[in-house]
Amino acid sequence: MNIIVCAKQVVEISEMKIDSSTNKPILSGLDKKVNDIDKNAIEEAIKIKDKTGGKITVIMVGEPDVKERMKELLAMGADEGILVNSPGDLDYSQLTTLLSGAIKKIGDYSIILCGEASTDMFSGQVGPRLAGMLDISQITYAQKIDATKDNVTGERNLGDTVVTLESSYPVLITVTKEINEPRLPSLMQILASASKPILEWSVDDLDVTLEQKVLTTDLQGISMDRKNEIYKDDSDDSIQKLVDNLAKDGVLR
Amino acid sequence: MQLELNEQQKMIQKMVREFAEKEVAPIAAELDEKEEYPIKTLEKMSKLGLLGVIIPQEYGGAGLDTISYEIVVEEISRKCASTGVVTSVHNSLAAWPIMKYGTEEQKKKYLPILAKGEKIGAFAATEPNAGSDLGAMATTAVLKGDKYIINGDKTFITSGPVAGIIIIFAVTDKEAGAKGISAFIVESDMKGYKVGSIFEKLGINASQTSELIFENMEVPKENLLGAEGDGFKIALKTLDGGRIGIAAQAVGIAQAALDESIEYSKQRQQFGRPIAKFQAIQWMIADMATSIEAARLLVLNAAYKKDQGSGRYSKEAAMAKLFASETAMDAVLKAVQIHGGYGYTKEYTVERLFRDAKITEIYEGTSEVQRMVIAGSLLR
Amino acid sequence: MVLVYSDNKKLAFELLSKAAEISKETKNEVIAAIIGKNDETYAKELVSYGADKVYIAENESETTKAEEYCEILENIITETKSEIILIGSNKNGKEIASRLAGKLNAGCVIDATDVSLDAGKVTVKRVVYSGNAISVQQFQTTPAIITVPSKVFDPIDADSSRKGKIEKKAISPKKSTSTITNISEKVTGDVNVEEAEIIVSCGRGFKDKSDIKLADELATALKGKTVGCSRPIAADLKWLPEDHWIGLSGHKVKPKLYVAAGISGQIQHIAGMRDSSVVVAINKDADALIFNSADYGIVGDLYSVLPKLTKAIKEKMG
Repeated sequence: MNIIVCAKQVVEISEMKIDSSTNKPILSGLDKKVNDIDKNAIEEAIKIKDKTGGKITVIMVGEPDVKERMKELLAMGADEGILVNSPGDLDYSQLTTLLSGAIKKIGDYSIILCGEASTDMFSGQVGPRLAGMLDISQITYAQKIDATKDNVTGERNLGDTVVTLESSYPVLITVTKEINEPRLPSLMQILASASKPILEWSVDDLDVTLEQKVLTTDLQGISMDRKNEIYKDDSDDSIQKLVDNLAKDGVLR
Repeated sequence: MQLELNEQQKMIQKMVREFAEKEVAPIAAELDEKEEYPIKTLEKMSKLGLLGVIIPQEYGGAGLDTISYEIVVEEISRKCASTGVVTSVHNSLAAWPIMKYGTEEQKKKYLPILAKGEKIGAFAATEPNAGSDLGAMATTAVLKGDKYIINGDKTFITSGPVAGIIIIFAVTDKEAGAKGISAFIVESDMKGYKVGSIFEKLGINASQTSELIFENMEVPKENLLGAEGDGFKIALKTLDGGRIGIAAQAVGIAQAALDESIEYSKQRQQFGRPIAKFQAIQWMIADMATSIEAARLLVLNAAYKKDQGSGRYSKEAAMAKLFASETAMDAVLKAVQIHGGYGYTKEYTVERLFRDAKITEIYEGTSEVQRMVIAGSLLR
Repeated sequence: MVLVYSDNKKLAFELLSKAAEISKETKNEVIAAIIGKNDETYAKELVSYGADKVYIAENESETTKAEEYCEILENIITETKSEIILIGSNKNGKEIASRLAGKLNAGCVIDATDVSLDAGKVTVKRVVYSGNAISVQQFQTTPAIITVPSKVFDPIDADSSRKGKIEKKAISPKKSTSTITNISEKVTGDVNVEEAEIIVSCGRGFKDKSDIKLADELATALKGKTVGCSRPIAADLKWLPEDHWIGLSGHKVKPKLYVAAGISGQIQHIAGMRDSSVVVAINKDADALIFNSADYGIVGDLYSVLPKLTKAIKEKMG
């Protein structure tokens, strides 16, 4: 069974600071990593492959430095990587068009796996948008997947209900963080990843036209100013000080 | 000349760092307090290949270079010095001598077990009356038929209580002095092998250290490691490699001390501002960071030299161990100072780091011995 | 035309007010869609909340089914030539909106916190980078598909005298290759963290499910009743139903007072409670991230701090 996983490189948001003079988030100099939930997608792909056999292809769109992230996913257990060289800032229409073009170029597949959303933007648009573009069925927010050679069952967590869907192939599934625990690659797997292929495709290699539908016109930083009055112990004195402060702030009715 | 980790080494560092943060760090304080051996952590590490880093792939290990290995030891030690030393001893002091001096049968028999972490490895040379002066060891090994009968006490043995495969040293020819010492591969279930008392220590409490008592212990003659009389040489050469591991452990401890100090000084406010704004603190941080950088480079240098294959890296290993351990001591002293009163309480990590750092100046060759080795290599 | 759709009635009513506002500007009609069950009462309610026209598209699946429901909306959009589509932002809404955008190759913004017209262009705002920034985005083409979460807009007062056209639409979407095989209700309490004014939240620092009562007692002493939690408590340990879960993939809250007990303060949790007026953190790890996002903090074991704090609060409040 051919499994395709779409993954994204994101910045380490916990390190993000706001530039106080421009009031914009500082995006440069941040560590980069694979979107956490995409690792859950790869882990799920590996579990399916262990059960049904097949091949896992990872697709990522970005600049050449994204190859480092690709290698991490190959070390986890993906078989092959495809990097689509990105021509700059893309909106979701352009991004998904590239992904869809790459998938059409790959050809045959049974399952496309994506993370439910990426931690930087948290839209969750790419997965189902791609399913719409490819006109295949979709199972989103899956907290559990059971795949056989002929079909797949997915449990969707909708908050107050759990809806179970069964679908034949091809199908696109987006997974939540709760679905599994992504493995750390062993030393042997890290060594083996060096010989796994990473193909690089440009926009011209794919038969697509890119059109911008949404333009980001501004990015305004939100800084959280907190008092940070921390009492270093739980003495009665500290507790009393805290209660007095809360009363002063008017939160005790 | 390249002073940067290659891509593969970076991936290894990333994996071990993530493992250490997720699995090692959360339990480090508890293991230290309970003096509990990190057996569950070691099981998880073995699945990732971290107990067979340098063991050749044909025997089930990862067959990696020494630099990659030292990265593993540093990253683990950064979160738990105890787990770090257990890892180092297992790889450098137990597996390595078998790799280097073992017969094909011995390698086939023992290396896969160590690589998979099915048994923990240890190294038993030190005795109550033979520490820096290893040549004064009194444990005897007498060949009787197809077995060596071994009698003696070993002390301060890391992982002593739990080790399954132990490299031990005993005198086979009393008249020959240092050249009369031989090395053996011993298994803990051999007749006459006993674990003695477990020490209550100042630090690295999760790494259980004990005496080993051999009472007419019966060791098959096939378990002689190297030839009779090779033991002292094997011990010293093995310790050279072990020293690089301890140096890496010390760098890990020092780095942890620096990490904690930076975090704390940014948060702690006195006189209306974070103490990170005060020059006294800034200079301490600067000095710590500089020494750690230097120590790390010495470790990488020794590791690199070892991998060149000439067999001559004792000086570099000694320099790394000497400098890194003294750096670690200095770093933890500064770290506790930066934390003030809070650094003296068990609620703060630096308290444990302070207790852990000291041993790095003592075991696997005291700083005095390291100075002897370095001077010896220069003043021959 | 502005089209409004949600499988959640309350959300639909909220979106209608914004739709009406935009339509006034563009002098167009507001259309609402009902998919699944033929619900005339609901259709009339939609009219009373601002819809000029309601299309009811019955479907054999009364539970939202992405492929079929998406096709139905596509059909309605094409027929009405709707240019702005507002969809309620729950999981179903987001997946339908995104799929729809893929089908129509239209612009789409998920979880908009503001929708307006700027020189005729649809402009939206959304929170990005786990709450660190607001992104302002402008649609360059129509249709513009936007999903809006609850409480971003307030519904207008329902006016039952409002007139609107209710029309049944027989749309038979292509049967998809997937089917719903089971729907099970999850155990939920009656907690609504999103509306709560006072929340005491539990994290991994709690060692046992029964210890959550310590948080409960504090919440009661504070005259609030709401206990929240971080991801591990709801999703991994399942000590509390997911409606208590506060975080990036959980609920977003804006209470007057938020007490985080035994919560480490990962960015994904902070994203859920950033808008709290006053934040108090209790954690025995002095280095815990939560202290960076707190107005007040106590470094201590929650098992000793919570009872002490509860007692002190009771005394203060008399």
